[in-house]
Amino acid sequence: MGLMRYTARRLAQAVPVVMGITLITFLLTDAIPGDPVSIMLGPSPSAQQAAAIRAQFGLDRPLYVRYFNYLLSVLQGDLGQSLYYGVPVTRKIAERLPVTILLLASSFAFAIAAAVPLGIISAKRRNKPTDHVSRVVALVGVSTPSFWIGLMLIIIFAYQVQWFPATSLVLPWAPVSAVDGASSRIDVLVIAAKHLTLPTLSLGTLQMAAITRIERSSMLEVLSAEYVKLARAYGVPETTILRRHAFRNAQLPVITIVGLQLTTAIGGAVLTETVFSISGMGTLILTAIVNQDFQLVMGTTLVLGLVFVVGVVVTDISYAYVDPRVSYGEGE
Amino acid sequence: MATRDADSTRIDVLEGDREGDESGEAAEANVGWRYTLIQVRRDPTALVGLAIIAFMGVIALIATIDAVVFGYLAQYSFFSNLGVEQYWFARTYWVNPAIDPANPTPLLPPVGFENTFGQGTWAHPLGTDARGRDILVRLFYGTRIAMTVAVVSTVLALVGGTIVGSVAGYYGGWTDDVLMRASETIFAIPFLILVIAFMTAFGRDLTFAMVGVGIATIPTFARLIRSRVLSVREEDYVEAARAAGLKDRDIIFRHVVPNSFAPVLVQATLQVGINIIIVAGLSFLGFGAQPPTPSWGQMLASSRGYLLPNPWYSIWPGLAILVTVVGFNLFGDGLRDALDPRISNQ
Repeated sequence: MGLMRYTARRLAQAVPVVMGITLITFLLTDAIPGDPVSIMLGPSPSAQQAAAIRAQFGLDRPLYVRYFNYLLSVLQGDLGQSLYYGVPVTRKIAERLPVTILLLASSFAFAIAAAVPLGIISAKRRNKPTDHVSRVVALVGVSTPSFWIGLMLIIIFAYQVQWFPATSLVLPWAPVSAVDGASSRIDVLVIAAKHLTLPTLSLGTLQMAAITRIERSSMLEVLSAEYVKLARAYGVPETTILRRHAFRNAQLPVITIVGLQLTTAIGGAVLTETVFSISGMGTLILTAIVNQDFQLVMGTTLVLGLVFVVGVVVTDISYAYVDPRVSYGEGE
Repeated sequence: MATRDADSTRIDVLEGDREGDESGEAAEANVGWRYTLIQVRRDPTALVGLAIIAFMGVIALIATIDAVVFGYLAQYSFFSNLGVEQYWFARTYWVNPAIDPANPTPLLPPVGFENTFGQGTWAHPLGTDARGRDILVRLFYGTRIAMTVAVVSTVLALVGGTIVGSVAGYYGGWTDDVLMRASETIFAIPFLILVIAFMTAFGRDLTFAMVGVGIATIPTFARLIRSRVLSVREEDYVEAARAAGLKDRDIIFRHVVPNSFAPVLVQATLQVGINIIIVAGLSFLGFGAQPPTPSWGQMLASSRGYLLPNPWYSIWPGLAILVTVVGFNLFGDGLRDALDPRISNQ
């Protein structure tokens, strides 16, 4: 019950932030030089035509009226019409968002699966060779641009040894008939996994490194806590301490970092999608910006902001789930 | 919203508890700084980081003299008669980083390697790019861009964040609410996308890259400062200053901010590293230094077309970014360990 109310309260708190995102994207988009008139009618439109188009898009109204209208249509689930693609923005986003979510999900899955054991081993074997290696890996990981990792992976794994493909991502939900060399759903999944490997490594390395570092220091902190010392004094075996006493408490800062890494990862997705020529949200937003497709810019930014907000709310809820000390806010 | 709780935890991790480490009095704060310096000097990894930063700084300085100072001096006949010209240094040793050389030998590998285009020579130790320009020289000039943009944007964020965070933390109430909600909103828009949208709206060149990245990182510093101010605000000496009738502005900037600065300095060092990567990413996408001005991200972008014939081309700029950012991370970590012995990684 408490958790449900907590969730509802968190979501309610996210509303002003989402409002703020719409305001910022609206103002930024408004500041982009040029308007739909010049894009639709070419360099020298007649005054009459221009006025007609302006009226059609409501551009002759004052800024706050336009913002209000925009908010109203967003609330109705209408993000406008993409000028470049000539289809509703929502349709374009519905097409691209799953690809980016897939990429983000596989990167975080890789990052967490690699980082948690690495951080724990590092903390357990503090200042031993294993620890040094894992710390160097983590340091290099947080210091390397994801798109460069992508380029290096392409050079090594796509061109030199040719284990994994570098372009034309195959989606796991693609129809079997549309995938070359696939005769069943399993084939499609295998091919999709192969295609996803390099982008995942490219985007996930930074997350992996950041999580490893925080996992290690958090684990070290917990392992030097009084209650762990007490457990040791009672003769509880070290592995039991790690597994039963330390692990859960050490995960709290880790969960926080995972949530905060989401915004970096979304930015990284733009670069990763560019490097691997993936048609996701990142490349969509770049296309929108380059072609001055205003509605598409606003729509994509808003949706990616929403993805982040939802991600953080989910993080917070899992935080509350792991840490019983987090009050569900009744007393706050 | 959600991020606040999350953030306070991060700050806990970052700062730990440092009570007594440096208390409010100016004299003791001095001792704190001296102690920090001694700690950093004893920490070999921090020193390695500092050495890397210094090395990159020197390269950036030489490149700046070469491109900007020599370019300026060459306008005067006195200096041009002496042979001074823009890119004087680079032109004497290798080739002009900005303009195509007369005899381009494109896509040469580094010294000691061979590819279909020819053999690497000492004339171009790291090889050449698709237009036959020397990669090492272009890397040098890229350092200038990377360091300048990353440091300036961090300073902008630091100043902006200090003002926002200290005002929010000191006054509390609705001022705090408004400023922190605004910070959260900026924070919620994916960083890179925010900066790209900003640059599309106002301009694609380096100035707007600095301002955009700076504004986008204000929330990071604002929240850090705010959390420090919230605890410092309750200290006795701030109470005393208030009782003595000092103005709010003086209390904030003379007493509260200086005593909240240590964790911010750590964050700033790490942020320079992060910004180097972000600025490279922006240039990679075409937002930032415009050709022919060499920047690391832009070099990587143009190397994408030659991954197969000359992979070396794309290796160097990435390595340059990696080494520089490692430098800032090592130094930042060392600084943090020195400021907070409790969470020392040693």
